[in-house]
Amino acid sequence: MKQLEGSEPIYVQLGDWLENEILSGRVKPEEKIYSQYKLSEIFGINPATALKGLNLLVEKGIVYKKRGLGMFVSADALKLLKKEHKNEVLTEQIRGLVAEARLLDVSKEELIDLLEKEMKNPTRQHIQEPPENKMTDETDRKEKITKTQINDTNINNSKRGEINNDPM
Amino acid sequence: MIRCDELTKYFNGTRALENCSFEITGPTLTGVIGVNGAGKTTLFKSLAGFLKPTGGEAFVLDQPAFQNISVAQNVMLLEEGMRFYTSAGLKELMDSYNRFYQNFDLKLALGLLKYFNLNESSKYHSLSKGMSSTFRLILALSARAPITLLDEPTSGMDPGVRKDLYEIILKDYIKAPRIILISSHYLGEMEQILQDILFIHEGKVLKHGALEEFETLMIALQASPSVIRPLEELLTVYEAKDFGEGLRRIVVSKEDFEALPHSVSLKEQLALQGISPEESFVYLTRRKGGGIDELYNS
Amino acid sequence: MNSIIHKESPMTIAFKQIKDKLYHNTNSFVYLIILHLIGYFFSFSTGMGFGSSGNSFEFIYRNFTPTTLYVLTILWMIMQGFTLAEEKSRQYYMVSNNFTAYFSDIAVLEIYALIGGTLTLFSGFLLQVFGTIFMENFVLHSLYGSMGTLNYLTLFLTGTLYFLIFGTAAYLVGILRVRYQTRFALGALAAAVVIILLSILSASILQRPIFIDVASLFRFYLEETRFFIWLIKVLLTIAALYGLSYVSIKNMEVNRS
Repeated sequence: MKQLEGSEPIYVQLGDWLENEILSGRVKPEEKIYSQYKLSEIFGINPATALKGLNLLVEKGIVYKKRGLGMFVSADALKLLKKEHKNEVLTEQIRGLVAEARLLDVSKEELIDLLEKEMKNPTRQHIQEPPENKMTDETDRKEKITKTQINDTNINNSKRGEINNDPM
Repeated sequence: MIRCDELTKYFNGTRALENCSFEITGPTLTGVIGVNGAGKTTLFKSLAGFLKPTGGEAFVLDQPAFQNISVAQNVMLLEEGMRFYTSAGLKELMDSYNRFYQNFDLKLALGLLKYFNLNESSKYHSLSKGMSSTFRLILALSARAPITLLDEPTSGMDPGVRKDLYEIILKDYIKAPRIILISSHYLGEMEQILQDILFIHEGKVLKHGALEEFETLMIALQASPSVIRPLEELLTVYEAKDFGEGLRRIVVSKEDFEALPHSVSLKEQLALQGISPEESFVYLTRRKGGGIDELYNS
Repeated sequence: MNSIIHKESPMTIAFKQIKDKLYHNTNSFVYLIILHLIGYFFSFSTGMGFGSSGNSFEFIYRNFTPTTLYVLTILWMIMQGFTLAEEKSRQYYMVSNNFTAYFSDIAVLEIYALIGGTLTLFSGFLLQVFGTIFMENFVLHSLYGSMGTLNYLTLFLTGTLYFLIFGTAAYLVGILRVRYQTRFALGALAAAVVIILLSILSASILQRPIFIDVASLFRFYLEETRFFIWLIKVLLTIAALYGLSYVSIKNMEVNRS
């Protein structure tokens, strides 16, 4: 079954975002990951929801709890994540890619050419979208909020936690 | 700490609440969701001890709530129609509440007043609709009552301010964890700060559970009509829409859908889309029966 | 959970309410004093002749009795009784229930009655002061001259108790109105009709007609010369009013804002 973009539960979206933080190296193995309260502050969500998101990663073995100290990224987190993403995310994307190519009458050779070109280009980094900003109107929900993408990936900037009237 | 046991309330023959049963223990930010007239305000007033149950009981702190002073001193009710001393300034009103609510944080209250540019010597009746809503909320949060009931706290406020206020409610909840119930008929703007949802419809509790349960109540199925239509026979459809000739989309209960026997070929052809709690809420409370197209097309 | 649960006794809360209510009603005391000043003014102006010789005119001062002050204070007490009753729709949002509200309301009414009584007590003295300031030949009514300590005490006692009766009666009516709203108007009308009918019936059935009207009600108290009987009458009336008020407020729901 194909999953369209829509409303995933917040804790699932949060889990995805956390996984990407780890995958991209912004949070390294054996490092302390954001606490539920920090996440609550960053995203403006209930700490219980944040905890659920973190627990998703605990269940997968990507994150573990250190008594009294908080949650830490496992040593083999990257290995686990890469495997999982390869199996699911990448496969899904390839499926989509192939379907799109077929639609556009792009041959297999052309597709491989495009792939090789992209793989030669090392600098572009993919930034995962953070959990949707649910505070805005229904109509805004469908739009991609690019500003928050950049702000939220910067852990030092807890702007969303501050009370400000600045329309972001 | 809050337990409703078949709580029923009639007003001159109107059934405001009917056999409501639910339990809330421990700190939580729970949204009480329902359309206008669903019974949310009646529920809050019953919990605050203002109304006497017609049937069943409302237990707060393990005691019947009605006219109970032990309950009253630990419950703060915020309502749009709540009244204050007419000739008192805002600071004096806060001083009064400070006298009665033992947990009241006067420093916070004054700070919030300043943050929202409210003058502490203004009289309550001279405030605009939005400002008085803000003041009520400041008062209710500063009271830090173990059970805080906020009845449509952001009504009459501009969207930008509403967003701020939900953030403040969340912050205050984290700082002083307690039972906070927020009622609203618009779930979308406060979904994300909630831990649980209590869904009330026509005086009854339809569902009480964690936010996640409401996030996975319904699902949209999208495929060609030939695939979708057979499914419509088997499931309750909350919405059906055609996108041109080749695509049909229906909204169904996720549980019902997952209970269906799945063939591999079916899986290949369907596209799924999650439905937010706000959307589910709309589907569940929408007036039944179509006919609007006919009205406009004739 | 950080929010501590508290358990103060009803009496502690009732006393807090008394303090709170008095604090927020300081305006009413100002009104009382203004009313008294108006009372004094009218008493002065009952005089008829004034000659205008240049810049001054003379008042011819006549029979000042405390009646004006009494009436004004009674009106004030009635106003306070109604106000306290009306406050019910506001009060419950803070910490309150019917019992504590009733208790603090009655206590506040008693305090008001005492203050009203004290002020009228000093009326003679104050009159002397005002009069001497504004007029040259100021003579108090002979009634004042003949008042001894016992008279003053009686004045204070009767004043206070009468004020309390009016205040509590107004409070009772106020509570009934708040609780029963539209049905109250109907009830009041029905009660009036019943009373009139009773008077008429009693006239035709009994030899001696019983007049149930305001004047005879007043006479019941005012024309009682035996002090202790009067005291019993008044105290029983107050007790009855207290009781009826409590019954009216008990189990009242807070519904309409």
